[in-house]
Amino acid sequence: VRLLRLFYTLPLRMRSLFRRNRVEQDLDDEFRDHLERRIQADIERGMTAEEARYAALRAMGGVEQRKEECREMRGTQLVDEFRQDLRYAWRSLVKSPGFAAVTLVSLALGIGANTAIFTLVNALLMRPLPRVANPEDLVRLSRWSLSYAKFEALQAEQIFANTVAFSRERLSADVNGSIQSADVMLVSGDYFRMLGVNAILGRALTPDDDRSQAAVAVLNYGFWSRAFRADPHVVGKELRVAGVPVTIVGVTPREFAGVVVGTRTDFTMPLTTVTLVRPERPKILTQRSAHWLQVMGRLKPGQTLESTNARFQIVWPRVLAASAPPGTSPTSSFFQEKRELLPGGRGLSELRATYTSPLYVLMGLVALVLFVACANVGNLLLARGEARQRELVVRLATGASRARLVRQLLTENALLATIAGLLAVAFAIWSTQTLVSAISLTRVPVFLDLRPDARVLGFAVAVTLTTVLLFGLAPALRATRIELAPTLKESTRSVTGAGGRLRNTLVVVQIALAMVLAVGAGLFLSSFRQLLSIDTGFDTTNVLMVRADAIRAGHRGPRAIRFYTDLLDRVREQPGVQSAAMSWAPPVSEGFGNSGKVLIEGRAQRPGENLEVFSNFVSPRYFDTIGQRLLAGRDFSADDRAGAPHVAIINRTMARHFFGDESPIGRRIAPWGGDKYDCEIVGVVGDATHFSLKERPYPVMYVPYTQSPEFLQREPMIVYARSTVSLTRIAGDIRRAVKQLDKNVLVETETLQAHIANSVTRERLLASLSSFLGLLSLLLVGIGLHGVMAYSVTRRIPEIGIRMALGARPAAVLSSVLREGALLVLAGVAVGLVAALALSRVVATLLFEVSPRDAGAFAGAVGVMAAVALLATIVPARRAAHVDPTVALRYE
Amino acid sequence: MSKPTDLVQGTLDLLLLKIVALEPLHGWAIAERLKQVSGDVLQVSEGSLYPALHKLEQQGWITAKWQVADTGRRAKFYALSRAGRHALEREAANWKRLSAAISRVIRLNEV
Repeated sequence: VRLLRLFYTLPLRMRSLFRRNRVEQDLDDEFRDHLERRIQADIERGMTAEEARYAALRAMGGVEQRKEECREMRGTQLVDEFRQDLRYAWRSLVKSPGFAAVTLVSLALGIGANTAIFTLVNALLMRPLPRVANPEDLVRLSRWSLSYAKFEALQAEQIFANTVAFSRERLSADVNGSIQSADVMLVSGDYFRMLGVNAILGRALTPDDDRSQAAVAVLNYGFWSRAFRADPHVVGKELRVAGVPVTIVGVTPREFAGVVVGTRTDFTMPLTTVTLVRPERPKILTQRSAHWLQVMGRLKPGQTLESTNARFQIVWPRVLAASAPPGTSPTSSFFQEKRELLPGGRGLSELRATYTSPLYVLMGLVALVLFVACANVGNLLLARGEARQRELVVRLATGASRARLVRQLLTENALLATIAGLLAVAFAIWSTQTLVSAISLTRVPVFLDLRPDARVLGFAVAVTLTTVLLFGLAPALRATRIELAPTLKESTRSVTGAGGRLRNTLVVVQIALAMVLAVGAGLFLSSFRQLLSIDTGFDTTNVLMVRADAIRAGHRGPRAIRFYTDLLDRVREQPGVQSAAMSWAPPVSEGFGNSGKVLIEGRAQRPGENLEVFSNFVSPRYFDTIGQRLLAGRDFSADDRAGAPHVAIINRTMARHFFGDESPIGRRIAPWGGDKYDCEIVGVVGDATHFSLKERPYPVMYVPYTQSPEFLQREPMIVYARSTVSLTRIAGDIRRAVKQLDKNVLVETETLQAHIANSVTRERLLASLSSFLGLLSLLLVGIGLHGVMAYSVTRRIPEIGIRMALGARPAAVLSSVLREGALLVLAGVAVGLVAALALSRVVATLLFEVSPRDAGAFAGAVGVMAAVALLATIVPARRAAHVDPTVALRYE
Repeated sequence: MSKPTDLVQGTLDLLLLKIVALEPLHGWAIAERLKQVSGDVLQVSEGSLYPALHKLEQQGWITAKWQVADTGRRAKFYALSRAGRHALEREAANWKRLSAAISRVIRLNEV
């Protein structure tokens, strides 16, 4: 019955709201109709027209009053008033475009920045996996990867409803004749069943596919649309993955993005096909030392994370025992491995380790900016409120209630905030995209679903509403708390002390918050500068890095070496290439590590001495090409080939460590834990950054790639080209050269500069965003301070006029205004410094070789703030100094 | 002056519902019909008739439509809705119960 009524009443309400003229017309017509009928009836009964008319109106008892009662019955009065307020608010905004622009821009930037960062926080840290059934029941294993044996042993324990292992691989895929790199998810049989995801076309993968090592693939929606133009008959078609024919069996739903947040998958294949698509690792499934799998599980019905975790702790030692490589000693660290279960409903992401704390720091910074913006707008509204006092007083005097006026002022603010909110969402959508491309690396692009979902929109609305209350309510209450009679009598120059105090407080708060932001920006900037000023030990300009993976394309051992030697020759032939070389690990390469003990002939090792050195495998002219200095001895040459006597070049740190001041040239060493001194040191090079910019130099030895140990011949090499012409052109030429050698080889090019810049993405992001936010808040403070000072000068014009008439010099007036401003700034800066000192500890872990109490950052913030403050006060101060006493007094 | 206060609270709604239940009528006709069927005992001020009608319309118990009346003029006709019919039954039952109870009480006094 309720619903039924709604069916009738809803259109009526809508009509009352949106077709008001129509409703009013109806009301008029209805009453006129009634009156006319009554008049006619009375005339028929013998009254005169005049009498009948009076009688009819009397019977009605006040037509307008009755109409109003009808309107009330329709319950549209509140809405009408709201519409009035809205119209009024709009008019008054349009009348003061300067005020409207400053307010809207401050709020839109404030709310927008908050929404943007929150969009990222939501997409990366908060959102449950899309399209996955009951994601809250998913769990993942803590820490790093598992071997296939461990996964099988864990699965056999059956502590989950489904146990699933997966690995992401970048493989070459031949789609309709064009070879491209594809991001492939290799998953064990229960993957789709665990996630509760079905195919929208064809079928998903099943345990049978995995058991039978079926060469089948399920396409992700995006890849299906891109590579197959959403072909509805795609099922059954063939795709070549790393040269292996693979049959397409299905397509996953559009929203489904897998379980690794921040990445994009092109298609999914059974885990066991790994030996088909990665033929260079034929034993990866049986090799117990190969740790390459991530594991997730779904809780059994009725089980909690805690209960399953307790169970897991019992079975884990059994899993380790069942999967230990043969001959592992029972005391080995293999059995010490501790794991636990973590909630997996939000999937996994490598980005989280890097960006969780920066994102929360940024969340804090943008919140501060919003407060600064609110203080600004609050100040503007206060000034407006005072300017409009007479208007409000008149309305109060003619009978408007205070609640009604507050409501009207709040409506104005709500209108402002709503427009600002809409602008903010637009700004947020644009800027999150920019943010994501800022954290995207050339080789590891970041894909996050940034479409605003309910949580993001809710956040934006909540922030907007909070903003309205924050900046709007106090001024509205203040503006309407007026004594009628005195205000009406007083002239416009009346001074309300309380309002001034509130405005001053707001400015002080604003300055304090901006100080915190400025200090933060200063800290992140000097941290970033520290990183950039590090001497990397090589020359990054004009060097192109080429990654050509011949190993995945099927070249192995001596064939791979031949491929790379050929490639290097071709690259050297390219016009514009000054020199070219190769190495196994790129300079600044987090994650690449090959360390081993080294023994030196004729040198006694000290007890407990660390003999570990890192190795890299390079071609001749490597040092020359990347600009690493050769300090002594010679570079490798083409004669240092396989079969020739083994040679090595060591870096300065290694030379210092093992040889002190003696020359290492000609000394013989036994590398990689061996005991034969069969390798001769032929040169010493300067230290170059090996892993990351944040490290101290490691001892590193370089060996010709042609003489590298067997296992390294399974790894791809990186080619470097130093060029005198544009790197983009060289990149194109080199790509073509690679394809001529073997069209199945995937090529990626990147400048060495970009490669190094990528390693400090997080620091750059923090530095640039915090500076942007700092500048923004300084700008807002400038506007706010200027507003307050200008207002104060305007109020004081008569007083200044009198003082000047009595002989005060302009300079004295100028300095008195400046002093007034300086007092506010000093108070704000003092509060801000204390707050910054207290807060800066929070970001200590994000700083590189900069103390969170870095004097430079604090001094810089004070300096910038002083400059902004001076700029903001000098204009009104000069105006005060140029007051003409006669004009000012006549103004009175 | 016969104000709606003469009527027991809520009974005006019942009367209006009952009248439009028989056939759709416009405001003037409703006022006339009310006088006519109650033998002029119940007189509703014309002024309070319309707010009451508008309230009933807003509640969804009656619907309104502009139609050409017998005299060839356009008038706003009110008709009972389905929800209104339920309401009428409910109100009528209430009224019967109430009036029966009151009659019983009055008869008790006479004994």
